[in-house]
Amino acid sequence: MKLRHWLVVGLLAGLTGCATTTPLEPRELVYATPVDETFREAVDLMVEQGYVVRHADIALGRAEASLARWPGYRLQLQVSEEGSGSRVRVSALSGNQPLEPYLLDPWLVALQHKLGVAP
Amino acid sequence: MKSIPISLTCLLALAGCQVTPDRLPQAEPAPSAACYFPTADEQALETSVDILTEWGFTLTSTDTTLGLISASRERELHGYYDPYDNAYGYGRGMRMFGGLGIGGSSGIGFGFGGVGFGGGIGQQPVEVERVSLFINDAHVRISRDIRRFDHLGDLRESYSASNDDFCRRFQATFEQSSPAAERPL
Repeated sequence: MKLRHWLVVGLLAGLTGCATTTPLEPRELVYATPVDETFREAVDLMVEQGYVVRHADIALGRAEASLARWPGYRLQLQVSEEGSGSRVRVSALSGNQPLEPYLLDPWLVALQHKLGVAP
Repeated sequence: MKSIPISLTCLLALAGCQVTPDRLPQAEPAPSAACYFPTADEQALETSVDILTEWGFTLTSTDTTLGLISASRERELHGYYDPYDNAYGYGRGMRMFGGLGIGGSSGIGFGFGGVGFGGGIGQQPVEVERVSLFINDAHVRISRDIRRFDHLGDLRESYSASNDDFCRRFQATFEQSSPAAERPL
């Protein structure tokens, strides 16, 4: 194969490797605190970390916030009832790419500390 | 000699891939301490809305039950050019992927696939400032960011701006406007 062919193959490999989109996968954690309290503290944590909350609705238990840091991050939050406690689902986008769910674990732990329910 | 095409292929395959962070990023530097202050004002939400609208902000969304305000304001930037990109200059030349731009300050632009602010004739570069304000547990917390778009509507700069200057000014105005401040001594 000539150099030109290698270049074409390389370019195609580069494009397939980087342009694939994986579905947005949330990370979940159950807290012993009531939904209302959990949601308020979660929104507070977002603002505390410098995220600008674009939309939040306590009745729906949903919030969306963004961070103006290259390539741009968007954080989506959903809090629902789980027995007497609450279930927090959180997912994030980095630019247009979903962020690996395990990267959200420190955030969920920070929320645990904020709620005072850390093990 | 054979290794050159292989190396080139590897380099091309890696080019464009982003480095992923090890955790969800936060604003750096973190919001200023002035962006979190206590309040005894029962009408804190109303007072905050009044201040923000007076400062030229438009409300994007609110949740009064939660105590959240999300607002933004926009201003035109005259003679703005991206300090990090001198390759094409301001408003002239041809840009790959972004579109075509002709003319100096008159700015005739043809944008393709832009989000939000598509190209147009005579479009000015703009600065969009977004603020979210959360009142919880008798405390006010503020976060803010600034994004700058060029004359083609492409995002050129974006950074967190929950800084001391803005939050101090807001806090001072808030304390003056708050009914608690009008109580006789």
